[in-house]
Amino acid sequence: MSLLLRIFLLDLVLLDLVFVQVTGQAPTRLLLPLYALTLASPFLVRFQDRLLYRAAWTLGLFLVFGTLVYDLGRQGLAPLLQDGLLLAAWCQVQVLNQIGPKQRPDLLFFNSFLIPLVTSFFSQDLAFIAVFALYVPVLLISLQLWNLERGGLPLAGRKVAWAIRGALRRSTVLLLLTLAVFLYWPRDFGRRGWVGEHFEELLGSGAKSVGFGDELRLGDTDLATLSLEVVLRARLLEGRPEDLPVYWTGNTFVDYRDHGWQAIRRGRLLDPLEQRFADEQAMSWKRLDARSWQRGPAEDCDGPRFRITFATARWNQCKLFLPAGPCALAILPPATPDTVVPLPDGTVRYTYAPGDLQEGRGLRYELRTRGMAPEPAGLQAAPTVATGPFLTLRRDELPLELRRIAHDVAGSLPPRSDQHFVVEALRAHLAASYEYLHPTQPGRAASLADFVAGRGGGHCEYFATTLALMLRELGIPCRLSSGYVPREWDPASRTLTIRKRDAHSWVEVLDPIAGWMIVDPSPASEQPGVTGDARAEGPWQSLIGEARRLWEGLASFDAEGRARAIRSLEKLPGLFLAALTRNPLWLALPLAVAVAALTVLLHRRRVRAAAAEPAVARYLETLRRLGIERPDERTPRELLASYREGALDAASLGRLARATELHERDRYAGGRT
Amino acid sequence: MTRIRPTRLGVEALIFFTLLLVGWLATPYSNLFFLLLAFFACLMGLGVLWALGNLRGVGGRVEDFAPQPARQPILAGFVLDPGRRPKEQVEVVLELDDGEGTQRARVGAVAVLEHRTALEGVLPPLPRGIHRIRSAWVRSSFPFGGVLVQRRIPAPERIVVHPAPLELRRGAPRSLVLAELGERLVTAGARVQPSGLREFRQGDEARRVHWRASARRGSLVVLEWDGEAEEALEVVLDRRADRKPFERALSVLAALGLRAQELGETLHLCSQGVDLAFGEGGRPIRELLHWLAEAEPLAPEDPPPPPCSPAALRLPFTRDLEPEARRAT
Repeated sequence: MSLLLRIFLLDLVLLDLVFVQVTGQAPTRLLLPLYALTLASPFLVRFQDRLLYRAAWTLGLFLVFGTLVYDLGRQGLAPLLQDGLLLAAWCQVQVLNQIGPKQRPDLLFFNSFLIPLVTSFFSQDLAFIAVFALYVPVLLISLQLWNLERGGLPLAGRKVAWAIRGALRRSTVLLLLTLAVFLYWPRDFGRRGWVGEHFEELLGSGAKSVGFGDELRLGDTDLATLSLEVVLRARLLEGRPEDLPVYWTGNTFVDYRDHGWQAIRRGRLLDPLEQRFADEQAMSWKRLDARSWQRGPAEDCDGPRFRITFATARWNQCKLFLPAGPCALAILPPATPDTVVPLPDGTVRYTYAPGDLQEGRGLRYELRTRGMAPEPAGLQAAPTVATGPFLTLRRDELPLELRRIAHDVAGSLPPRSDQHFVVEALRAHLAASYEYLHPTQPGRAASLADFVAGRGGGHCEYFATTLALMLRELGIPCRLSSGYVPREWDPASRTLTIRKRDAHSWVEVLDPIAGWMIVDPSPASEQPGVTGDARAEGPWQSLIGEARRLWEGLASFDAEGRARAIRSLEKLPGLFLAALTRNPLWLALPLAVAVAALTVLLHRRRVRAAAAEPAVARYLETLRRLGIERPDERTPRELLASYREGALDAASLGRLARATELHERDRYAGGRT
Repeated sequence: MTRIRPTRLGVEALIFFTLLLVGWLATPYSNLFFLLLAFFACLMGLGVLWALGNLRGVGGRVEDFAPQPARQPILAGFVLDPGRRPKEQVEVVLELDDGEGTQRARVGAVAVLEHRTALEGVLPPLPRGIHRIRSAWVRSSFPFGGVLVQRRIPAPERIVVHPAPLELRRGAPRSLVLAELGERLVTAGARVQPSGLREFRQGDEARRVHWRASARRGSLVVLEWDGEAEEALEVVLDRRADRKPFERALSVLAALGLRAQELGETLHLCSQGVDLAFGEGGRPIRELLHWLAEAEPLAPEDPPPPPCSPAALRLPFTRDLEPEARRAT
């Protein structure tokens, strides 16, 4: 195998290892030897025929496979894909190091495609598509070179550059066609597949993604992924973008027990005190008509109006996401009102009936919220006793350190400080003293106690839980809320996009005057904000930001996105004609591009023809000197063959043969060698 | 005519794609899975289109074959024309009858075909005979090797493969050649007659000197063999022979014919079905070689060859050994 092909195959395997690395599923300490063995393959290939060499590789394969089987037995299906990725990576490196007369690289090519396919379940970062963009031309060049070598035609000299340029052109065409198929091919975006719900079990904990749930459990240190899947889109029908709600609540949690929080599932709160509070605060929903409900005073529901659409139809039980404070809710057809159940804590649950499912689209509802006043008007707090459930504390489950810190921070404040000073002091202490680690990052605390003691970082749930329990320790009523904090605002379509990765938890403190106040203890730098506004960014950051935006659009593509893409395509000719009508000079640009392309093509043809001319001129001169007429349709070799039968003396025949050979070399072999 | 078929890699790719499709159907919808599936499908589809486009407009032909010796690699010339655009990874393949069936033989290949090009290739050795060329194809599996596209090109109808000529000393005078041939034939038990004695001439080899006769005469004399003095070498081939001596006789004839062509001499062949002169002043040697390629032995009861000069070289050789010939050697 030529060195050139071996180098490209080596690059292919390196890219596969990078794919595995970007998922974060395989530890770097296990990948480093694979990188080393890959880079050493041009040297190791000389030992291919040795039994010991082949035995060592086989032994390694058995070791990795044995690890997979052992983990399967110990942890079940959870580590299946992680270990499988490592096994695939090992196989790639092994095949690379054993390619030769007895081992074709076919398996290497197929395996090299399988690895990005599997890693796509674990990672949807921009890094994935960046590596894939490098992978495609390397794959095409490798296939081409292998095909040439298999036919006994290895490339050399300028033909290598030719082949590489051709492969790059083909890569571009291939990627563009793939993009077109991806954008326009009709498909069911909500398809569950034959495996259905069991798929996430099969993926294992490594493929868990950050998202919203009805439970909050602390202590899970498995890595999760950031999913770009769109949960819902909220189109602003009336109002100003400045009034966009930041926090969209799905669940509220009151009772902390067994190291976790549980949300309400039924129509009535379990805790009678909490139910009484809800009734007194009139925070329960009031039905207005068959499809509409209202929470809070009607006069307060005068802010922005949204139309919200869930991105996909999910037929299991789920929650609507609503901003804090009063709001009016209307369920849009074709969903039946019975599917929606407003809950006393101010949240709303819904369940699809099978007939309600729309292809690729979920529930739609309209929401009118409260306007964002600088000092939000709240509700008068009820007497302390009604706040009882929001002060519930099982001290036997509290880490002592947590209680001590709460009292230390409160003690550092002036005596009889207002509640909001205490809240702010605790919030600031948490933000400054504890490390924020996202669920995708390793090093998180294994329990609340570890987090409070500083033995590991934590994400928003840890910060929110710690603050909520500290506040209750100090007698400040509060609850924990979870939902989403969206980051994407599209000013053109006036749409707020909420993705799974935007899931967040925060604390709501019951202020005796202002009512429920949102307090977010997660450090400010990690707090998401609505993007899409113009911010001062350098050109490089803008470019990366734009690339990330495009990639996220692709990774979270859905039926609505496809519909938009089709509409844009349909509008394209009309837009083009309209632009031409407005300004005919715009026609000059595509014409100029076409003329330039044609000129380049013709120039290349002329150059190619001209390169042959000196070789032809020399040959013709030789013919003239030998007194041979210029051949008509015969090639130089045909002419030589016809003179071999005796029409020329030996010396002339030799000169003619030499001239023919030189002509062929100059003209077809890129010059004398 | 254009043909297209998947290669082994192409079949493997189809199986792989089928498995991917099954995985796609089994799992919940994922944008990236679909993207990669679409990529692979586009790769296969474009691979087919590019392969077809690579041979579009390709022209060429296989050049006529000169008669070729048996059991030796055959030189083949062919001309390829890429058409308007350069073509990549083009090879020429012949389908021909090799006496035992149909054989596909790769004549030659070129990595990048930019201009009209005359090339040479090599075919594997063929047995003696007239081998029909069924078809000639230009083919390519460019760019990825998943499919093989073939286009038919004109080719000669046959390859004439004559017997492998016995090796003779190049440039030697006929007398020496015949002497050498005679010695070989005598060694093999041939029936060869010395026709007489003559004076030693400049250029005669010392080993040809008949020392006993020279001692008797007092001057150097050499043995003269049948046919040596004649202007045209006459050869009589009796085809009523076993296969092995018959083939050997054909090899001798091939050697003599090629030598006559090289030196501009004439060879007169008398045999069942032929009584012709070939070479200078006669039919082209090519026809002799053609006849040699097709010649088959006859049964013993078949008629003898036509009468020829008694001084002609007689083939095939037999095991009878004339006493004079034995004494002469």
